[in-house]
Amino acid sequence: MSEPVKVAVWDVPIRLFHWLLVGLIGFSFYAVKSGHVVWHIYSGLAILSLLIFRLLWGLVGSSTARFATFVAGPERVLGYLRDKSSWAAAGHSPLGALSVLALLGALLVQVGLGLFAVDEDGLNEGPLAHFISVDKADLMRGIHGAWFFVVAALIVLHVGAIVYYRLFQKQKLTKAMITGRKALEPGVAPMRPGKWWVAVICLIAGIAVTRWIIAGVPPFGG
Amino acid sequence: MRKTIVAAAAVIALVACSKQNQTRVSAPAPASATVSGAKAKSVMHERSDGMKKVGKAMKILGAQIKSGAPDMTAVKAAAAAMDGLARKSSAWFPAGTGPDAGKTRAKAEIWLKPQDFAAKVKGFQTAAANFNAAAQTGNAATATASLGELGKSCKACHDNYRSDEHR
Ligand code: HEC
Ligand code: HEM
Repeated sequence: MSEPVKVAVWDVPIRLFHWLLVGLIGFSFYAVKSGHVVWHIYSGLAILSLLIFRLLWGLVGSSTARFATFVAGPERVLGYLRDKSSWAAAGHSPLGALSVLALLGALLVQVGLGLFAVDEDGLNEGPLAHFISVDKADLMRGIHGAWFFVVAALIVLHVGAIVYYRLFQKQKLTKAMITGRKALEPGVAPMRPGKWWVAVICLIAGIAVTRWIIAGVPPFGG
Repeated sequence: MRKTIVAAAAVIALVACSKQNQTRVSAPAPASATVSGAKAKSVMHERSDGMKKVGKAMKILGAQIKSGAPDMTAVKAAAAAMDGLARKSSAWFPAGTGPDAGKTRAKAEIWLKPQDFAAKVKGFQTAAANFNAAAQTGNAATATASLGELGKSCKACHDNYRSDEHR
């Protein structure tokens, strides 16, 4: 076995997305627990823009960002679990891919429920809450709050896996998500970067869709 | 950190308490006498029930106003209900219905700063009456303009005198 070489694995948009998401999830939680529901809603809407950006970048972005590259079926996941050396590529491992999908999906549900939720006192609500009855919007808040346990559990699993890889597999995954580079076996193809202006378009699309939702999804709403 | 905050809060509460004890002599007699036992329980129940109704009225108002095209019949009904509840709310906080008396989110500070608290109740009653008057005109723009003040009156009280939902 020859010496591993450091190659690019995560592009700038992915890294920015990742750390902004971490910050905003933390902030959302802090804001709602300290009674700043307005900040909470703005922060949640920012998360929504980021999620839409990520879905689009997953279609047209850098190779390691694309769902088509990293999403693996059960066979590949099991194969990877049996023999970790069966997989060597830049980007998410077949198991990591599951974690990514679960987190993105759970966050979409979290934000989606929040859009319809009204706060306890009726002072602030998600931009789509007035489309449903007051009682349903109350229920949405309840489910939205309870769903956070699912998100939190996935985050714990995600961080736990990273700690495991650090301790037992000697892989510095966090550092890779900061610097964008990781030591891989020679010969493994590095990330094929996407175009920066495509990333900008994805972000603009994410913000635009969010603004459309804030406006009450015209012309369907009002 | 937490301990420091708790300790600081306790000190502040003590200081506030001693100040109030000095002023209470000259303060006007409290609106309602101290209650206990079953009477306290029933007031606390009525209070929680009342606040739930206040919350429901507020949500109806918020949903209507924010829909952009409010159903003014629903707005008028909720505004009148809110006004009625606000008037009743002065009777919801007799001494003896604090956290020592049972499960409640009403903070002990309510009875440590009776004058400030009474001002919050008054602010709520004024805002609810003004909003009701605006709503009964049937003009959506007029009603919309005075909903904000009503909302602020809830927050002004809750921020200081209501504890968190999950404890
Ligand atoms: C003068 C202080 C004060 C004002 C003004 C006030 N509240 Fe409250 N509210 C409280 C207190 C104290 C509680 C906690 C009651 C308890 O748990 O016994 C409370 C509880 C509530 C609850 C929770 C009820 C429950 O038991 O689930 C709601 C909802 C609520 N308030 C809505 C409102 C709304 C909406 C407004 C304004 C339109 C408002 N309140 C104005 C003091 C106030
Ligand atoms: C990933 C992002 C989000 C997270 C992690 C999150 C988390 C939470 C949590 C933990 C609560 C407390 C629930 C409770 O106390 O029962 C809450 C309440 C709430 N959230 Fe979110 N939320 C997110 C996004 C959103 C979005 C996008 C909106 C709306 C646009 C929203 C609107 C609300 C509302 C209205 C409440 C009720 C507040 C209250 O009870 O006072 N949330 N959220």
